[in-house]
This record gives sequence, structure tokens and C-alpha cells, in this order.
Amino acid sequence: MNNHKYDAIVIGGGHNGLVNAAYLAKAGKQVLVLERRHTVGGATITEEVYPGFKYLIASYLISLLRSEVIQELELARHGLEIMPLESTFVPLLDGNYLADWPDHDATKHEISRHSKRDAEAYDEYSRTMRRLALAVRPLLDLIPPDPTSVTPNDLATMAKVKGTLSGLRKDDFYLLARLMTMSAGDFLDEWFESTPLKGTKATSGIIGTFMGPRTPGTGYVLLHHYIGDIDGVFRAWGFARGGTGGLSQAIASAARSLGVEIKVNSPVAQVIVKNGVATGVALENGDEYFADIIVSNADAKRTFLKLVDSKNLPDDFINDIKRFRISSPACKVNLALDGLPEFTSLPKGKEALLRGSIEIAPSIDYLERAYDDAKYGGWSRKPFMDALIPSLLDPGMAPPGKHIMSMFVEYASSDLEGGWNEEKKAEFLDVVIDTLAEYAPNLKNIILHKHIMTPWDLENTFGLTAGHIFHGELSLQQLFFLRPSPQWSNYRTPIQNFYMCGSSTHPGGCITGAPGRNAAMAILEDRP
Amino acid sequence: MLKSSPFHSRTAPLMQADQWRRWAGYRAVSAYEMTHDREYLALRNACVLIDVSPLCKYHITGKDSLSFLNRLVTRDVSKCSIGGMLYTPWCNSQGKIIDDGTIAHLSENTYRLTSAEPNLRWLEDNAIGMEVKIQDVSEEIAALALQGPKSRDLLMTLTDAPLASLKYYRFVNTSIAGVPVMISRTGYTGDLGFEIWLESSQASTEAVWDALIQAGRAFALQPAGIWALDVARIEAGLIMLDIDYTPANKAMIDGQTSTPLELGLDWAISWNKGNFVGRKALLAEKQQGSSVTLVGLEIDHKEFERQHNQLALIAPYPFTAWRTMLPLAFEGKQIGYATCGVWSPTLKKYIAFGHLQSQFAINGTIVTIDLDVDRYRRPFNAKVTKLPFFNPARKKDVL
Amino acid sequence: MTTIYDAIIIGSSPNALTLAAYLSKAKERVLVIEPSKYLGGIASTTSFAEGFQADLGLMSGQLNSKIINELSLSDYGLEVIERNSITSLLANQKSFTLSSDPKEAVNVIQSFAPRDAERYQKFLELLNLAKELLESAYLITPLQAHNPSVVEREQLATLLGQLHAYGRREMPEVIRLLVMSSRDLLDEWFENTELKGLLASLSVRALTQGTFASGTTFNLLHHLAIGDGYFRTTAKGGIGAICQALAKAAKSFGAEILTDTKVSSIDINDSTATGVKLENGEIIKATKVISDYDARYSFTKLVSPIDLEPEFNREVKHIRYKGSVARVNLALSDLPSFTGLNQEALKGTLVISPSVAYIEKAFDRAKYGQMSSQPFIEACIPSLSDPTLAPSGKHVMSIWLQYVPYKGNISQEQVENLAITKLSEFAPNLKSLVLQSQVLTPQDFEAEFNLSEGHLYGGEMMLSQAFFLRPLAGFAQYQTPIEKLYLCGAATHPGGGISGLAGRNLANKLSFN
Repeated sequence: MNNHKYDAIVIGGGHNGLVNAAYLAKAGKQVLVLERRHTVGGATITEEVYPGFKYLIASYLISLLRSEVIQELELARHGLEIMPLESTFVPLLDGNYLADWPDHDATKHEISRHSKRDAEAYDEYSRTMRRLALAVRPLLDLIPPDPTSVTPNDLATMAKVKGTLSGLRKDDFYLLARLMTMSAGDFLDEWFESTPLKGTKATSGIIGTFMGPRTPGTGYVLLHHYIGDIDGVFRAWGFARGGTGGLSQAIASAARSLGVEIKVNSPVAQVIVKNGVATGVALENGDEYFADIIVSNADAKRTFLKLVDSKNLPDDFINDIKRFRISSPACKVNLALDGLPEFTSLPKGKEALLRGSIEIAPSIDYLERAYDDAKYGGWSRKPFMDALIPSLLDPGMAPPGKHIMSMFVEYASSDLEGGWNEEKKAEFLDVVIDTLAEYAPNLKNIILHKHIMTPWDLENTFGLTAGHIFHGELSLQQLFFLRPSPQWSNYRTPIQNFYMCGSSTHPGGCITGAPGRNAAMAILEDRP
Repeated sequence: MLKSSPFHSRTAPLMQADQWRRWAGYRAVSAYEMTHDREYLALRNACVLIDVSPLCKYHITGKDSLSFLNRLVTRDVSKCSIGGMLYTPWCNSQGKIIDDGTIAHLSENTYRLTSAEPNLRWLEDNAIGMEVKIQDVSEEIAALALQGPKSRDLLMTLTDAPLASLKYYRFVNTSIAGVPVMISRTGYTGDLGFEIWLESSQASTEAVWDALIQAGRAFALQPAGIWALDVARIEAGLIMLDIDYTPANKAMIDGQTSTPLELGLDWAISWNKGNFVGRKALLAEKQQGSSVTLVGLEIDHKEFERQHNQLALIAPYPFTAWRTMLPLAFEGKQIGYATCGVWSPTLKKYIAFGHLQSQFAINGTIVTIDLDVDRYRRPFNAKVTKLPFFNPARKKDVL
Repeated sequence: MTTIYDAIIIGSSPNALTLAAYLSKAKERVLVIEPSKYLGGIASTTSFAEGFQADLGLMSGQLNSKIINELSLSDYGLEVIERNSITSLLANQKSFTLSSDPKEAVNVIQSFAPRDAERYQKFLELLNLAKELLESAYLITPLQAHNPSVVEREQLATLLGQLHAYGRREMPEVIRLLVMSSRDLLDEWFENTELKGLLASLSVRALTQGTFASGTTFNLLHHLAIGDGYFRTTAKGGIGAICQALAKAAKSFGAEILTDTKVSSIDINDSTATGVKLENGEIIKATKVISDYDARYSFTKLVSPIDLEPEFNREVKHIRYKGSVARVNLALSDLPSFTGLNQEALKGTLVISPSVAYIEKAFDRAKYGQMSSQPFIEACIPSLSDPTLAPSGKHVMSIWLQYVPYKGNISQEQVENLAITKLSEFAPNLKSLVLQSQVLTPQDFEAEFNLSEGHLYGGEMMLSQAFFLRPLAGFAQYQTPIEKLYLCGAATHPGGGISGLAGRNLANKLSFN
């Protein structure tokens, strides 16, 4: 029985948990992080499932990581190196392809092969999205206000929100209002005519989201993904050396250097609550730790329906958490390859495109049909994929001459009819590989090992409810002051001294570090 | 990979110092020789051949093509008879300039519009509800600018077309080396000069290029690049998109936009031709007066030299035009900014373009511009002058 | 000396006629011009077979009570007929009927979903809060959201005050409703598939979206707020009688109404509307012109795009119409026998919407331009409550069928067959009773009534096209880029349906000016 008293205990060593712990430690708190797995990082990890090959078994790209977090926690000093993913390659089955290069002229040239009008519109589209993202971005760093409240803090935040929005250009203001409630598909139809361009642009509206590109609400998700930037480049995706696990290790290292204690293999069974006040946690092995501040990095459902005894929570709140939508369409597939896949449509001289992301997203209809297949509890017969060959960026990811291909795949329902099992996993993995092999026929010959993480696996491995990488849908009724519950969107909970810092809170999923950082601000407001 | 101009097979071997640059997604020549000095001198004293193929070109045809163009641009296109061309800017409905270029009246209901940037989308949006066909022919048409005092003499050795009497902003259809070409009395140098338009097939471009070079030997013809052109266009007071103004559809914020009135293009606005895009806003601006005005600046290079000499340094001459925004001040307060500047070898003056708050845009006003002397930035006087700086009679003369 | 009217209104929907009535009541000289021969356009009731009358397009709805009272419409023959039940037709000829009386409905739900029965009343209460908020918002002109005026700020503050007064728990709940999908909403409240299916039906009425789409709850609330909820209210003599009453009122105040008169364009002089030009070349002058038509028709056909800015034309092109409602009217030789349904139930609305997923699946096909063989249907037999609509002993059945996508070019015959086949699953003798029929697809609505893409509501009722964004951002206050030209139809706030509120709001705005 360990009775060591900490100032704060963070349940879960995901990237937000680590960020939160680091900020609390930076403010002078004695912090303990308890991670159930053998390594920190939560879903932000790299694992050697197959000898010699480092798989990105969950999250795989970084863009939205707030530069404030990188600077303030000095992550570069702790080994974080982000390599921007320079290009997007969209192979098509008719032998053609679309590519997005880091160079403006080059991209324009590629698009104009499909539509000259679109090549022009693309410039204006990119500028518009950048302006909108810029306008919305400050909201990410806010503790959401309670619109029903009249406390000075809430009023000040609401004034800030209002100020941000009314500072927009008139046309941008209206466009933002429309985009928030539109479908990504309708929005893109307004801009472009070329089918593959609309397909690849629409993917930003559906990543991590169980909605189709034609579902209203995906417009917001599209914008959400534009908010990220690397060195001022919006909608840029980066790959951390060593995989996203490299990022977690860097944050962990920063946290440790600030005095945070991290215990792995320490699954928390229960938050200890006495008279409505959280006082500590009990591990599955019975060990107990006590502190004045308890923070949960787990998703809202896991936190409040599993880790906390419901008698400590008001019924309305429990109802809010129960109805919080967490149903995931996303899988991760990793392939160990004996060589590089040969895409039929990749022209000679443009092999550099393999270093970027490779998207199987030939059209909005393709994506929408993929959604249609899955939305009633199935999986896509032709899934959407966003693939990456990290070993081309970081040779340490695979043995010399060999490669790994890491793919984000949608849609496969977390609520699969009849439930997931090993056979179904294998079946869907075949669907993925068959689909990709249509574009790269040599694929099946070079596969040394294949691995899939379905929502079921993500749940079992990481404790993510329904395997949802964003800890809950980014649907409009679950954003900002409604995330995860109307009165409790400010990282606080109905239990005193108990806080949330995971992606179930504002601003939601992706590797932003923002929930962790914002939660620390909220905690330090209460307990400076 | 950048696109290559249809003349690439001829221009590339002439390149001496790999001085390529980008122009609208194309590889374009900055200067063929190690420096552009001779290219510029040929431009003003003999003649130069400049590959201007990267220009965007559109064919506008159909019953409503005239009303379409008249709605689109600020000038009155109905005044442009067949065989004629005109220069014009065009704006969005707020009167903010989007682009500028030329319109050639090719035949009944057929026009060709050139622009610096692609405009297909904007053109199509303007054509809603009209019977007009817009075709992007940018890649189908190659273009050469043959500019300089000897350009006419040279061309007349290659074609029987009545070039002697061809007036400024008129064109003729003829052939060079058996290749059908359109020759227009136009250019971006403010000098006597022509532009030659032809189909972009390699056979045609090589034949025309070779014929011009061959005949040009007698006229000291010099292939030239953008650096020489840039000096000439600043002397001629001709604005450049992205440098002297930000097109409205590229501006991130309203403050970055310009209007034709601010840019001194009031002469290019036909108020009485009926409605056109941006008319209402421009009319309001005309009545209220523009808040900003584009002016010419003569920078006090003497003082610039003196201060260098004081430090035992020789003052540099900006032979290549700079294209950076430099603050302009009056009594120490910023009242505008310069957009480009260059040493004019013809005028022997250091000239620049400036956007000034209109109350300072009066000829003779002295403002200051910050320039580097050794490793320090210092203010120098610059006198507001009218544009153009250089406007020789030969630009428009006919024989 | 030719007459110069104070106002010419092109179109004669309930909005147009409401406006005409208010303006003429305020002593303005008003001319209403209806291109079709039917007063009311798609809100008319016409004879489609000897002795049979049926609603042409919209088949339910009512004017806002303020309009009925202010214009004393009952004096002009308006008689509202409430339908009191909806019946969900389920597989294997099962069904259940919900009464408009919540207590009775709870009793019915109790029998098959006791846990849902407990929540039903509370659910209606929450919907009601949101509905009341919308009702308040619908009575005023939308604000210029980007830069609201002082008056608008006050109006907004009043609305927010109403929202605040709902309480700390309810306020965010109401906000959530506005942006939710009906699937999410119903999943939060209920367990029973069939109940959820029936309740979801209203969320996609007249909308080319499925139940999984965010904002479908807003469409549901919209219908509640305009008094055209689950139970499909109508009027004696059919929907057309509403327009007849409005027309009578307007005429009594001095308005002139021309039907079967086609306007070819709006006369514009120096960006100002000065009158209209008829197809026969005649020009009628007016100091203001109001188009009852949707924005795309108004700004491509009535006004030439050449008279408008390119940026504006671009926005007009982007408005989403995508009509997908088809209407089928059947003249029946006798009352069809629906298994297990009594006559009372038949007086109400029959709905084929057995589950939330059923609707979504019907919509899935529409996305790709196809019609599902399992459509969403709402059907009424109006002749049961209003015998004037059919010869004695005979009946009229009005069918509302989704989704028949505009871009699918689906034939009338296909639609009719599908409607009859599907309904015959519940009323096997239906087919044998059909004497004559009338079918209108979105293509027909466009061809005959100039509704862009056949959309009955002048543009999809989605959040991105509602309030200050309807019909176009920056032009949501009934005004247009052309001076003295206004819009007053379903294309404007508060949108589709028969409420007449757009006409009333515009009348207020014009008289305020």
C-alpha cells in the first residue's frame, strides 16, 4: 500500500495526459501519471509488432499539435522532430492520378490536368480555408464558456468568442456560418468540378468521423483539420521521427524533466471519491494513490461510466455521458513490405509522391458509398484509405530495403453487426488489401506481415471506448461548450477536484495537446 | 516540374548562366547573358526578342461576347474595332482590381483576352446567363515580344504586312517563315514594339524564332529576359500584378487590394458605356477621391552616393529592379510604401513606384525612403513625379 | 395614363397573398400575378378527375394564427381542419396509431414500448421549447448577423432571453436540438425502433437528407413551428381554400389578382425594379416588385444575371434545391381497406417510416440519383373529413413520396406504381379502386410551377440555408441586389410551408420603411 501523497494524479499517459501532467508540474505541482499499458503514449505510440518493423498501430500523423505546446514544453529539446509530409498522391483506377505537391505551381499543374477552372479555384479555396482556420483557431485555446452562466470568466470568454467572429470579413463570416452546418461534399461542390480533387479534399471532412462526406456537419470537421499548421503552413501533416510514439516519448521526457513521475503497467480501477470530492485512485492491483487533483485522460464514457461510481454523479450528467456519441469508423492497418508498392498510375519521375500521403479517395461518391456500406453496422466494400510509408521518411522504421506501410482506413463500424472477432478482422483486412492492390498490383507479393487494428482492437488495447481515436464524434452537438456535456465542458466535472483532459473535451481529437493544456489552465485556475 | 515555353528548344541553348525564373508555372528567362545590361540596352537602342508565352490567353466567342467583355472590364470594348486591341484592367464588384491585360478584336464576335493570372473561373462566373463561349487557349498560343526602335525595320524584312502604317494597339494577320502569325503593335516596354502571336507547335515556334534571329542580325537583335523587361516597364510606368498590386481574389484582407483609380488607371475606365462589374464602387470612389494613389518616385541617388563616398564606399546602382515593399515616410511618419525600383540607365535616375496616401501624391512632394548604406538603413529623399518616367514618341509613331 | 401600382407581386403562394392582403389593407395599390391557372401555385387544390379535388403540391399546413386573426380570415371562409392522428404502417400489416392528444399517445406507446412511453411527454415538452423559440424567431426578419443594427441586437437579446429563461439545463438542450440529426435525437430519447421511425418522419419531410444528417432535427422543429407538424393540418376544401380565403381578403381590401398571366421578366432601370414585363409584351409599372419565386428562378429568369454581380450569381448557383418530393393523388371508387385500421385512423395521416434507418436507406439511393423501392410515404384520405372533395361514396387519397431525386429523371409512371405497390402492402385492394390519378415529380414541379429543381420549399430547409442565410447570406431580409425588388416566398425566412409568415414579415418591413 503506497500512501505517497501527490498534488495531482493523471489517469492515462496518452499525449493529452502527458501534456497536462507537464503543465501542472511546470506550475510546481507534484504529479503522478498512471498508465495501464507497458508504455506511455496511449494511442499515440509506435510498436514493433513484427520484428524489425515499427508499426504505427493507432494515430500516425501530426499536424494539429499546438505550437504553443511544442514551445512551452520545449519538446524539440526532448527529441521531437516533425517531418512535414510534403505531398498527397491520389491514384485512380483509370491510370490517371492527382497529386498535391508542396509547390504551388506544381500542384496547380497537376490539378489543371483535371480541370483548369479548379486549378484557379484551388488557390482561392486554400486562401479562404486558411482565413477561416485562422479565425477559428483562437477558440481552440479557450476553456469553453458556459452560455447559461453569468460568471465573469464565462462572460469574458463569450465576449472573446464574439470578438473573434465579428472580426471576420463579412463574406468569411457568412461562409463560416454555412460551412459549420454544411456537408463537406456540398461545400466542395461549390468550389470544384473535378471528381478526384473533390474526393481527396473531402477526406478531411470524414477522418475519424462516422459521417459521410455528404452528411451535413462534415463541413466543420473539414475546417477542424485545416486548423493544424506546421511552421505556418495550414493543413500540413507531419510525421514525427520514430512515429507518433516519438512524440509521446518527447512529451514524457519533457514531463519527467519537470518532475512528473510516470508509472506504466498501472491500470486504474476506480477513482476514489469521498463526500463528492475526488481524493485518489485505486489501481486494479489494489494499490491506492492520493492527491488533491485527479485528472482523467480517458474518454468521457470510460471515465464516468467505468472509473467513477455512478452514485457520485447527478443523473442528468450520467445521461449526458451515456448519450455522448462515440462510435468509430476508423481502423489502422500496418503492412511490413519486402519492397515498395508499385502504383500503376504513378508516373515515372514522380516517385517522390510515395513519401507523402497516399489517398484512396477517388471521388466523393466513392467515400459516400464507403460510408453507406458501414453506417448500418457493416464495413466498406471499397474503403477509404490514407496511407503512409514512414520508412521512406525515417529509415529506422524498417530494416534496410524493407518498408512499412501504415494506413488509416474507414469505414468499419465499431458496432459491427454481430460484433467483431478474429475472423471478421481478417476478412476486413483482406478487403483493405484487395482494394489497395487494385491500385498497386504488386502489393500482395511483397507483404511480409499484415496487421489490423479495428475499433474493437483499439478499444481493447487502449481502452478507447468504441475504439474512437477522437474520444467521441466531432458532431455539432458535441462541440465546444457541449463537449462532452453542456454544463461540464470546462474540463471540470460534477466531482470536486476531478478533471478531464482527454479528447472528449474541447477541442476534441487529433494530436493537438490542446485539451491537456487547456485542462491544466482550468485546474490551475482552481488550484493555483 | 515547371512547364516549358513552346520556344524552349530555342531559348534554352542561349542561356549562359542558368538564370531561369518562374512565371505563371513556366520556366522563364531572367537574362540569357551573365548580366542583363546588353539586353536592356538593345531594348532601348536596337531591338530585343522576349518570350512572353506564359501569358494567359482566352478566346471569347458567341453572340454576347461584346456585352460579356463590356460587363467584365472597365474600358469600352465596343470602341475596339476588328483589328484593334486595347489594354484594360478588370475588377470585382467592389471595384477592386483582379487583373489587367489586353483584348484583341479578332473578328465578328471573336475576341482574345490576355491576362497575367488564370482567370477562367472569374470569366465563367461573369458569363452566367450569356451566350458566350470562353476557351482557355493559353497553351495553344505562343507569343513573342519584339521590342525596340529597330523592331519595325526588322519585321518589315520578314513580312509584307503593312507594318509601316500599323498604329499603336492595332494588329495584322500575316505570316513569318510561312507560319501564320498575328502581329500586334503592343508591348510592355513603353517603346516601339510588336507582339507576335502564333500557334504553339514546335515547328511553328522554331521557324518563327529562327527567322527573327536570322533577320535580326542586321538589326542587333538580342534575345532578352524578364530583368531587361522589368527595367523598361518601370521606366514606362506600367504596373505589374503581384508586384504593384495584389489581385482582389488573392488578397487575404481587404486592405491589400487596389482599385484602378488608385493605380492611375482612371483613363481606362469608361463611365458611360453602361454597367460593368465594379462600376458602382468605382464611381463612389471617383466622387470621394481615392485614399491611395500610385506615383512615380525619383530617389535622390546623389545623396545616396555621397553618403557612400563618405564611408569610402562606392554607391551601388540597382541595375536589376527590386520588388520588395519599402516604407515611404513624410516627416518621419509612414505614408505609403514603394513596390519596385530600379536604376534607369536611359534616364540616369533611380526610379521607383510608390503607393502614397493621396494627400501626399502631388508632384514635387518630397517623401523619404529607407535604403541601406553599408550595413545601416537610412532615409533618402524621393520626389513624387508623374508616370511614366519615359515615353518616347516612337512608341506610337507611324511611318 | 397607365396605372402605376404600389406593388406587383409575382406568384400567389400563401406568402404572396398574405403580403398582398396586408399591403392592400394598408391602402397600397397591389397587383398579384399568378402564372399558372391555379391561385396558390403549388398550394392549390384542383380537380384532377371528374368530381375529385386534391391538393396539388403541399398537402397540409396552416397560416400563422396572427395572420388569421389580423386579416379576419374566418370571415372569408377559412375553416381549419385538424387531423388528429398519425398511423405508422409496419411490416406484416401491423400498425400503431398515435393521437395528437399526448395522453392517448402515451397509452398506445405503453402497449409496445413502456420505457419510451414514460419519456414521450418529456420529449414533446423539449420539442415544444425549441418550437416556441423558433416561433418567436419566425415572426421577425432575420438580423444582419455580421453587423446587426441596434434594433436587431435588441431583437436578438429578446430571443436569447427567451432561451435563457428555459433554464440552465434546458437552454443547452434546445441549442443541441437545432444542430442534431434526428437519429441522434431519437436515439437519446427512445429505444423502440418503430416509434423512432415514425417520429423521425417529420425530420426529413421535404428535405433531401436522411435521418443521419445533422440539422434534420431542425427540419422537424421547423415543421412544428409553422404549424405543420406530425398531424398534417388542412382546411375545408383543401389547402387551396387557404389561398382562396387570403385572396378574398386581399381583394376586399382592393388588391387585384390575375391568374394565368405569365411574367417574362422584371423591368429594371438603373439597378431599380420599375415593373414587370408580361409574356405578351405588356409592361406593368410599379414602385416595387416582389417575387414569390425562389432565388434561382428570380435571379436567372425574372432578372437577368447580367443585371447582377458575378459574385452574387455564383452564390445563387450554390443554393441547394435538390427537390425529391413527388406527389400522387388517387381518385378512388371506394375507401381502401387498410388492415387493422379503423375509419378514425384513416382520417389521420398514414406514414410509412418504420425505422430511422429505413428513411436513411431510402435517401441513400437518392444521393446517386435513384429512387428506392422502399420509399418514405405520407398519405391522407382528405375526403373522409371533407366530403366536398370527392363524389359521394368515393374518395381521394393524397400521397407524399420521398425520395424522388430531381436529377434522377424518374417518370410519373414509376412513381405512381411505386406508391400504389407500396401502399397495397397495407391496403391490398387499393389498386383495384384507382379510377384516375395525378402525379407530380420534381421535374413536373419545375416545369409547371417554376420551382427550381422542383423544390417545394424554395430551397432546402437546412441550417446552412436558414435564418440569416436564407435565401442568401447578406440578402436574408427579403431585399435583393436590385432596389425595390423583394422576395417573399418560401425561399425566404422562415422558409417552406403555408404559414404566410414571410409575407407578413415583409409587409411589416415595408410598412415600417
